[in-house]
Amino acid sequence: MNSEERFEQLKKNVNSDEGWSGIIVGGSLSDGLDVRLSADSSIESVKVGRLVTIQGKSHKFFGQVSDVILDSSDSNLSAHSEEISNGMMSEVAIGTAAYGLIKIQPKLSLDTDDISSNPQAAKTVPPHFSTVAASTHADIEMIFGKEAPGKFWIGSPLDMETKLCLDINELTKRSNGVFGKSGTGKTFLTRLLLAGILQSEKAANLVFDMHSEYGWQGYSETANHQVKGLKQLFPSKVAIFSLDEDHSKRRGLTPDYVVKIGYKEVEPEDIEILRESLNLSPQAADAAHSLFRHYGKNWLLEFLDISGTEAFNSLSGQLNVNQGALSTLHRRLREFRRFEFMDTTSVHDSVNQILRYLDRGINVVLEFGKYGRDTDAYILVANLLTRRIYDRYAEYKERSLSGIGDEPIPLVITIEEAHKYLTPELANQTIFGTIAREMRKYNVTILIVDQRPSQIDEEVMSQLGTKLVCLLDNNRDVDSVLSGVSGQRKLRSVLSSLDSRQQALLFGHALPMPVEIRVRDYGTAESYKSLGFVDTKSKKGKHQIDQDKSDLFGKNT
Amino acid sequence: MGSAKQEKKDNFSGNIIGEVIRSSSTDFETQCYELYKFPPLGSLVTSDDENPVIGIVSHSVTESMDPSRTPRPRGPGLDNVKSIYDDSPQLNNLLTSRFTSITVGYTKDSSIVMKLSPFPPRILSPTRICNDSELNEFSSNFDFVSRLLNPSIGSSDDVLAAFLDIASGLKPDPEQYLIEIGKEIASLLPGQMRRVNLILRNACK
Repeated sequence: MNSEERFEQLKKNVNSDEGWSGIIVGGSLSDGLDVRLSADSSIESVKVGRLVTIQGKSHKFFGQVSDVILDSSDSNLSAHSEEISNGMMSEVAIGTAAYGLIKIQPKLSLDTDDISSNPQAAKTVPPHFSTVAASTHADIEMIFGKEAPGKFWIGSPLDMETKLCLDINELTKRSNGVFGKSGTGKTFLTRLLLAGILQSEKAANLVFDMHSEYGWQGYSETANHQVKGLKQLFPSKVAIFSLDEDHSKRRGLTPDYVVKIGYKEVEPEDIEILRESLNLSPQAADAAHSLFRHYGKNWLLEFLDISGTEAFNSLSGQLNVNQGALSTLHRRLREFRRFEFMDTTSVHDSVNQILRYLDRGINVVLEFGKYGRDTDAYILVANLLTRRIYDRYAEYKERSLSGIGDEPIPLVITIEEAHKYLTPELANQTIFGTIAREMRKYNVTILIVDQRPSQIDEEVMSQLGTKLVCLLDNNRDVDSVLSGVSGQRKLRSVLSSLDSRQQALLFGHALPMPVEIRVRDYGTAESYKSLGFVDTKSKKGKHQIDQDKSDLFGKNT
Repeated sequence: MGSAKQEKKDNFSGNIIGEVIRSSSTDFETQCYELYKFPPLGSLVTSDDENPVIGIVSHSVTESMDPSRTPRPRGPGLDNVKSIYDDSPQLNNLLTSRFTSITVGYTKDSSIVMKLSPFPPRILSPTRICNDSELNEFSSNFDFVSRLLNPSIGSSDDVLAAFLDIASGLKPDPEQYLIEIGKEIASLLPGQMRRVNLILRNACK
């Protein structure tokens, strides 16, 4: 039985009646509704975070259980507890004098008189004695939509086996973030998200793959085995670029392109954002601008070739820059010589190559290989390439606005370890800060994957459309992720109660309401199949290859 | 059809124990035909006339028929009370047993309505103890409980407990019956679980 069939089977077996129901007895929109459980309900089957449906008079409301309370109508119950807790009396008391109360936060409402209406944020509450029950599969589909092109199945709500879908269209309209402590499944969630964007064909991905885990072979710590990367699942839609060809080859991969960065391509702005990681003083970083003015495009190489105190003295005099700052800059920039991808020859074609793939709708994953361990290299390359790609997109977009040429396909740039270069000090200077702030003006958005959101500039965080958050337990990180979100206090408790694996809290633009999910499986043959992977050994797979070939290169005549 | 009705009447006539001597919307009093032959506290009775009214025995009394001539003690040294009655048959005419029933419903078109009767039973209507099937049918609906918990009735909790004791004995699972009706009592007496507990404890044999 494959996952699809199992799911269908499960859907049939699951009764919408989960062993509890209740009625509204009070509450408010801001503090949540009080729901008294019916006498025959089992309080143990109600779980915090469960999605519930409330049938009002003319509206259907959807909400989430935020608390489960043991209440009683007899203030002296505890005084007589011994007498009452025995035998028959306890059964009499349960559901009458002693009952279960649950708190429900209403989130959405749907006008039941108007079939065409969509769920809206709840602005009122259902009347007294409205019935409340766990949401059914149909309710979840009504809220989050059915799996379809543009609607990507990302996981299922906790305690349910329903497919919960993300609206990829809405997702790619803004910059987004995937956060979580190390080892909580950020990479798996991101890989799924990338696959979703890729499948939807609504946008192209450019992934700065620091640890070489998205494009080709990742590793599952829980299952202890290799998992397929995007290139293995969608060979004709993904190209792998590499900074470290040897590393790629060792992993059995021939990269589509080996990226080289010319010294001439490095601009003083690229040094500016490395200021913190290179431990440069503001004067030293400014010196790069003076050098650029002095030497022109080839400033870096010429500067690195300087040796001897005298030469420094004379340069310092010419540029009117402190000699100490100049020699510090020289010392730090010498580190670039270690980078084998740096090239002394003329300007390389990496940006054009990337754009050529992206224009055709092919997603690009740039593997850093051994340079993934070097933050300087990552920041330098990611920033340098993105700035140029962004400039090109801005140009395309402006041209399309004036009627020349097509609008560029939206681009989602995935970056990791953002807390190292999107800090409040640097965010203004990096291109990623600009992209996050300017949103999709030029059809370019970013997807931040990070474990320390509190270190990221507040302004960048506030601009993220959708946040997908795995377990976070540092208070400052939680604060920063939830800042500006309504119902923060309740979400905070939800966030801290997530499992450390395969669970995430999703909220923001691409979802009508915040929801906790169990992230869809990734790494099994069934999961690959459900993502649309075609086994090339099978007959059907060969047919698919032929189809892909003819799509790419045209039919042989 | 006529003979069936006659047979029913004969069956019931055995249970007739007296006649209504005072009636109101909320209760009615029956004087027993025989001294001390009244139904136990909590029994279900009905007036047996055109508009049968159902009640639960809430109070019984035996006293002198003439309020001005009250009985006097026979003095010390009397061993056997029964022998006094045997020796003085006139006592049956000088004393009387009466009981009061709280109205809990009435019968209309052969079905029980759990409300106060629109009309109280007529004076001198026969009063009979309901048979088991009537009691079973009546006790399956819990609407009567609120009537019995009315504070104007003296010892209402004990009357209810006595009724439940009798009614639960007819159920296949008396404990389950008491739990279910206990929930009804608990919902009518919010915040008084101790009182509910006492009623149920008294209802258990």
